[in-house]
Amino acid sequence: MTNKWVNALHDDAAQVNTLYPCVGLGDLSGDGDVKLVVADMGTSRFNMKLKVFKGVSLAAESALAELPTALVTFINEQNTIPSVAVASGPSLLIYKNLKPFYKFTVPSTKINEVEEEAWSKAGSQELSTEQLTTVLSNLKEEISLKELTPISQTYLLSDDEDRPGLIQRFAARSLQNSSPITCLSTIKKNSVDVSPLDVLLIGTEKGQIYALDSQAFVVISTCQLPGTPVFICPHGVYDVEYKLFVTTREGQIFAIKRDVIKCEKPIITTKADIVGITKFGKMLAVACADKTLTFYSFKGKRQNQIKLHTPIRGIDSFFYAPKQYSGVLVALDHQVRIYNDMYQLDQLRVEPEIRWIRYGAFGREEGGLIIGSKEGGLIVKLFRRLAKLDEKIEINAQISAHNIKLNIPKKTKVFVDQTMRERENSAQMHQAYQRDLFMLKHLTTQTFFDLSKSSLSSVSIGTKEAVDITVEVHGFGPVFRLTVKLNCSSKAPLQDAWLSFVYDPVMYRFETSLIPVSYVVPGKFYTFFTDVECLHPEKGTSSEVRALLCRANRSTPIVTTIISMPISEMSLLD
Amino acid sequence: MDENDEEVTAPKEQLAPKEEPLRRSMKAFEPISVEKSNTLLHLLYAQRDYPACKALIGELIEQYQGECEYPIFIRSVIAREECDLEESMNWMRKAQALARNDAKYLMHIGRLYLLMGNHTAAVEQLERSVTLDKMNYKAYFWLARAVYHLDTNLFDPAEKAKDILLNAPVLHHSAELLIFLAKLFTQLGESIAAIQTYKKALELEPENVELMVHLGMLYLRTKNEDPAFAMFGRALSYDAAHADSSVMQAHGDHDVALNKYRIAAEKCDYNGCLWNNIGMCLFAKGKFVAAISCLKKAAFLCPLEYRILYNLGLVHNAMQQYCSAYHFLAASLSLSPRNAQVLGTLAVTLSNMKDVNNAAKAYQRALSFDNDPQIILNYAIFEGQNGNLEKTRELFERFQQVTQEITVNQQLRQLAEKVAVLFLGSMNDNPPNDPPPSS
Repeated sequence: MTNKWVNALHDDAAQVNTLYPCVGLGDLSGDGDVKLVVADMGTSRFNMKLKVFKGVSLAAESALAELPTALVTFINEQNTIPSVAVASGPSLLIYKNLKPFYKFTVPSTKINEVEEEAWSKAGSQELSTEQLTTVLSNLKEEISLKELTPISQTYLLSDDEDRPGLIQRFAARSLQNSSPITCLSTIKKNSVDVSPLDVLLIGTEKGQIYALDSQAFVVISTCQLPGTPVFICPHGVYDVEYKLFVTTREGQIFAIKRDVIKCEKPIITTKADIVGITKFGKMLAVACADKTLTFYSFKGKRQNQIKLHTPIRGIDSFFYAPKQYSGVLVALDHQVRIYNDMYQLDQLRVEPEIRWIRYGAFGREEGGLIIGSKEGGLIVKLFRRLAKLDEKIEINAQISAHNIKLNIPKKTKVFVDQTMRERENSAQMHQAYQRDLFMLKHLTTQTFFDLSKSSLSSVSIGTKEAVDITVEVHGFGPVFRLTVKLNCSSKAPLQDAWLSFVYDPVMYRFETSLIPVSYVVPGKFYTFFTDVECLHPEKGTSSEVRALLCRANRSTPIVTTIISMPISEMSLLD
Repeated sequence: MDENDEEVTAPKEQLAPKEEPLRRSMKAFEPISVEKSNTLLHLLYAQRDYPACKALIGELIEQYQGECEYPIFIRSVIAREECDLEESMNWMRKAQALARNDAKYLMHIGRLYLLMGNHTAAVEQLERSVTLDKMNYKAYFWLARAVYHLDTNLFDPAEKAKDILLNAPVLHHSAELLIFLAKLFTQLGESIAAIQTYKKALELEPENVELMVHLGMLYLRTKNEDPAFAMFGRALSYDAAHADSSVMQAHGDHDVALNKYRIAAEKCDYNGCLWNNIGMCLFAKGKFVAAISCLKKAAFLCPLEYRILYNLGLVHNAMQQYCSAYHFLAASLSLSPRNAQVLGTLAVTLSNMKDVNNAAKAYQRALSFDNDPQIILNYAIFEGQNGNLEKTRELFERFQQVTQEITVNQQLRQLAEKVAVLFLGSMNDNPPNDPPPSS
């Protein structure tokens, strides 16, 4: 599907370390060639630069003193080239023709009274360095460090020897509490036909959203949010009717309308952190860290959610004016997809891992997609003028039920034949079954009865006399030794029993054929033995011998075991 | 433009790269803000780039001597997502120590306690968080969760959790809260309230299939088959793999149900209940051999499910394979020995095999468990066939008596009338075959 995009340019070693908010596009030299402007974060402490790329080659750069957090290109004069605004700390640095032009600092928020008083007293030498430290430390404990002014923060974080110098330098000045800028955006001042001017939108750490006139650099409206803004997605024009959709770090989205100075209730609350937000027609597309892309109406009503199954790296809106194609570009780890609210329209694979994407007019082309990789490379893809975005890759692809065959196991011919037989002869079969079942039961019962009557088992299962008997035959003959082992497992010990042997007196002679078993304690093994002599070993035959454990007062033995005697060998002595 | 001219000079020295020695000496006096890098950190965190986050956090903590809440907070959240709860708790406590009165950190500490299973401590922290910030709906959610898991006899945890949720500030804007509330309602047996809550949640998340299924099930439980049917249909249109078309089957829409089953079978082949339903669908369509195949597969997958065996018995009976039917029914009966329906069907099968004595015994035993009019009618027919008209009359009377008390199928009543005429009106005609009891 990549044939919809032309692989225009790429540079794997462009060494651009930045994120989506710090990337902008604009015709900065006024030659009709749109360039890429990047606020490079360097190592986040050093090497921060503002870079301009023509294609993927570096056209200009300028060093930045502090970490940039956002960048926009905007138009602040009729019929001239766009300017660049870079947010860094609480200040906005405006560049014109790539030259520093103006520095705007966000208005100060309310300063804690105690803090203000302490500094003014320190300035007039009423408070010593130690006293100021104590006052500020106590204040820090009370309202936390981030609520203090940057000067107090610096003071508390400095070493003791630097502190007098700090007081000297700052106490005389009035305190400022400007909070750092977190996000930037622009909105047209009026409809494009009237004037091309932009209004700058600034979000700060403390939750203010400022609208800034881009010609005079004065704040023209302010709105306070309960959270820290992350992205601003504007809709409409400033002078007529507008709505700003602002996402916060808590995953809430607020809608700010004209003349609203305080916004308390979010219109949307997402379940996970927001990775990106963009407009799609009359809807908001919100990408979240839980791998979902959700579409909401401007009123905050959820329309549809698409599950991506891989983390989203960033989103941007897609619009190709010549064919009026629109959609949402979603960057995953190694691919960029285009979605509309129901379908996936396109998919594009790239080799390196994506960190950010930016879509817009680029160079002299209408549809340029700039992809920033994790390693700092740049890739530029251009949307083909002849490409068609008509194919829909359905997200929840419905499997057409008629195409699936149920995997019903087949039946063999034998089965069918047996079925026929069963149908015809069911009564007989059932009778035969019933008869056989009866016979089986009868036989089982009879056998059980016989067994219990003759006690022919080697294990007695009577509850009172549970005895286990085993017999071993030792020797080759004609003299054998029978070893009888008894193990009683009943609760009560076994008393007054007799071990008796039943044998053929013609074949064998027992030394003792009746052994008294006076006492068998449960759980112990008892061994008894007797010698047996085979009387006629020369015949080469043997017969069974039975060992019975009996009681004097009972007609049936407790246990019986049958010993098959081995064929005796001839006596060696003969 | 003219008006800007005077301001042009201002930023130049700020922006130009400063020379190294000068910068170092100035550095201590540049006002620093501990929140300066929060934006970058948040963007990295939102992208789930944890290695970069950790590196940056380490740098910031060093730079600001551990006085920066946000990086510490993010470090804790990362530790939690990496399932290292102890470490997460350590970091969160550090963040909380920097801002004692911040309800957010208290909430997260409570949440960590909840994850660790220390519900009492969780409730304590979350209650503090809720009193500090009454607008944070997330704190209410976690508090409700923690209270729900409390092991106590003093009050009903579910009831208490419900009350907490009902007090939450933006209840109607958070599907999470609503879903949890609906679950609590369901557990407390307040089905109507649960349905309303689910409906509200569904307004917030119109394509949440799981919600639709829950709602459909609740409708079924409250005997509202039509909305349940609509809800399952909607769920299926979003996600065809949900095997809930049994409702369609109950509606007699066998072909549609079968189509849905096809998709479901594609997704999960080894599901005994599913194959049972497919089998019965085919049975209803008159494809007996295929039905037997499916049911046997189901029985193979779930050998201890008496319903599948019962269905097998039914289908075999319909196939006139009475011996096999007998065996399956007997097996079913041994798994569910007091089931009158199984016994009644067994009796029919036995009478089909002309085993009059056992059939009579089975009927009597079945009726000793349950006064099912269908079984009574079958028994009456059976006795009639054997010429035992006295008994038949007696059974018809019993049938009339039972059907007065409970509502029965119109079809069954008509059948009973017909049979009564056959046996008790003109006794010479051949009676119709015993109707097999429907599933």
